[in-house]
Amino acid sequence: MMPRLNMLLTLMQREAMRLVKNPSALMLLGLMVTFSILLVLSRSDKKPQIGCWIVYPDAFDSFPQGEFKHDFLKTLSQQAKQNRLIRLVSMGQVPKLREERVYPPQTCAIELLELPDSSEGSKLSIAYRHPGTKSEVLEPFLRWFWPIAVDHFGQVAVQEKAPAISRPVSAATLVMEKLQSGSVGDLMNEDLAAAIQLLIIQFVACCQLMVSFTSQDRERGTLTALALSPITMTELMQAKLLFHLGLAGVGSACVIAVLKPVALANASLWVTLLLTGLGLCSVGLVIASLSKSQSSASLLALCYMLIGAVIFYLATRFSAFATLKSFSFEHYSFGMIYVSLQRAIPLTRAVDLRPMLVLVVVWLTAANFLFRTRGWK
Amino acid sequence: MSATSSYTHPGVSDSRKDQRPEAIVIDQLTVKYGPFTAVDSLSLNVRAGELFGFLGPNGAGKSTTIRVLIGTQKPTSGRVEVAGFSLPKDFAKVKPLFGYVPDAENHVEEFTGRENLNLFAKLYGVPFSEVEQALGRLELSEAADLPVRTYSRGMRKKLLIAREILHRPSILYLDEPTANLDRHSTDVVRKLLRELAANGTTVFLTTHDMEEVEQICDRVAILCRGRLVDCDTPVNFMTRHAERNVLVQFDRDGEMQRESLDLDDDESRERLATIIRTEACVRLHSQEFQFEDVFLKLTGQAYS
Repeated sequence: MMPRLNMLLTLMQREAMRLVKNPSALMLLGLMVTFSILLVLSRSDKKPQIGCWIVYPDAFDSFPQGEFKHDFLKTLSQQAKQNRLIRLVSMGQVPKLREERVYPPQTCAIELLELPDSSEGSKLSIAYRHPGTKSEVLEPFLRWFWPIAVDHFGQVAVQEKAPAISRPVSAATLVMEKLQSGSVGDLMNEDLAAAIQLLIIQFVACCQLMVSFTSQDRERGTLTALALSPITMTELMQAKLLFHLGLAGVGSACVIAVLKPVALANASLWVTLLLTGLGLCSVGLVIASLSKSQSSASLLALCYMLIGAVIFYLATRFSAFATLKSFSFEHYSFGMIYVSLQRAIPLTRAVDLRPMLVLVVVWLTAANFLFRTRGWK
Repeated sequence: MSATSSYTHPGVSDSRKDQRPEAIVIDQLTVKYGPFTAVDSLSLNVRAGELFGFLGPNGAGKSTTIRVLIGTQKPTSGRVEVAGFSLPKDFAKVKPLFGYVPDAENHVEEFTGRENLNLFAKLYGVPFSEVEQALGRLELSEAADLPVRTYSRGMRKKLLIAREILHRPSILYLDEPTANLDRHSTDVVRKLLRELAANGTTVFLTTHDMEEVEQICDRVAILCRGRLVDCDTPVNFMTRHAERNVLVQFDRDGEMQRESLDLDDDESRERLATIIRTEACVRLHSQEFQFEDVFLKLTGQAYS
């Protein structure tokens, strides 16, 4: 049976009136947009000190003392202690996003990448990463790094594949291949901040508010009153989904317009946001259908968010938990939002959308079943 | 005692009422919650335009029966028909035909009384003039633009009734409609229910107020432990189950004493004769047998 437009509009109008009469919910969304504006304003005003991470392969830790790689690491470590802007970390400690290492805001990186052994001896490939578009910010760190490397290895052969920023001053026996990665943009930039914020807005508008409104309706018996009126359960559910998706859409559009206006035209971004919102609405409906009171429903929603965060942490830190991420549509959506903010992705090539769609459909089916059988009573 | 007062059904004789079609048919209805049987083989018919009282002590199965009738509870077994439609199969067809006033109010608290009614008027496709009319009938016009959260419990109950009569349902279920209402509001609601029944609406109500049952109900069913104990008009209940008692007050050796005596009991009658003959009888009057006494007698028998 097709939903009747007038019924849908009446129900959506009801939800909108409830939102208007619940200033706390509106304030929360307003806070998100305000935060975006503040982020933009603070970015132009401040010039924070730039730090640098020296990143070495995990295998370096296992080399015995006296081995040149171990000693090199030790020297770097000792020198780094004298400069609080420099940190020495192993590859495994750097968070990854879509197979790309992600650094904190305003952080450069000098990545030591070990190449396979050759007859010429061990080879290290070095990749530079820096925030923003100007590579000059790397200069002080390269001035610090190169003398240590040259002192240690005695000889450095430079094969440049991109304009060098700093030249080694001497050469010895070990071959170092210097690769400049070029600008990869500000890795913890407004894109990442916007992606996080968009995900939070989706969560608040689609999950938290859905849980709050629906469980309140359920606790008061309003849903039963509506269900006994001429509207169908399909219309009731559709109106709720459309309202919360619309609300999330407006909130997201505001954030994107402030932080990354050019991304407003990216279809892949909107498709990802739509699927994410739909998934989170379904999660909200499942939670509201399973809990008897508003307080227990809110607690469950919070638990969902915390469990999600723990899974994400475990999956990032320990490979044994890596597959857990695959069962969460938020994992795919976060990556997709982040990438879609940077550039438009043809939908046919957006491989993450497929598993995401499957997971969202699973949640939607569960929400539909639970809401119809027990969620409205 | 007869069904008295200003609430009597105007102009429809008992014989005409008997000819009306059956609005609600319950046949061998059983509802179980796990091992507990809430409703046990209940059979009941309610005619269109009848004001039907559904009584029973707490936990008798009244609310469960209403839940089955409004389609929110599936019966374990038995047949239920409302307005000619079978439940729960034809739930969607039955929905627009009835109104349901639950015992606990279920308004949107942030909305005003008028906004609450407007919402349901839109859903039922009813003009807003009906909202004003319903508010007026329940004496809520003055408070219509206040948020419901500021309403008293009585006002909330009246708003519920106003909401459920908006679409002029052919069947109206009410769960304790006059609970928490003051004397005047109770009177308003009772008159309204009688008016609705007079205009052909079937009114099916549960209540613990026996005075209400006596005054406004055409027929009454008493339920106990999920089983139907009896079903009849309040007058017939009184005729069939009334006990004839007299209260006698007499002076014995300067001390006033009182005794209640059952006139249907030989021993009591003899005792009354003795008192009248030998003692100084001061007062003698018959004791009114209330509908409440019938209810207590029948439910007490069911429990024993």
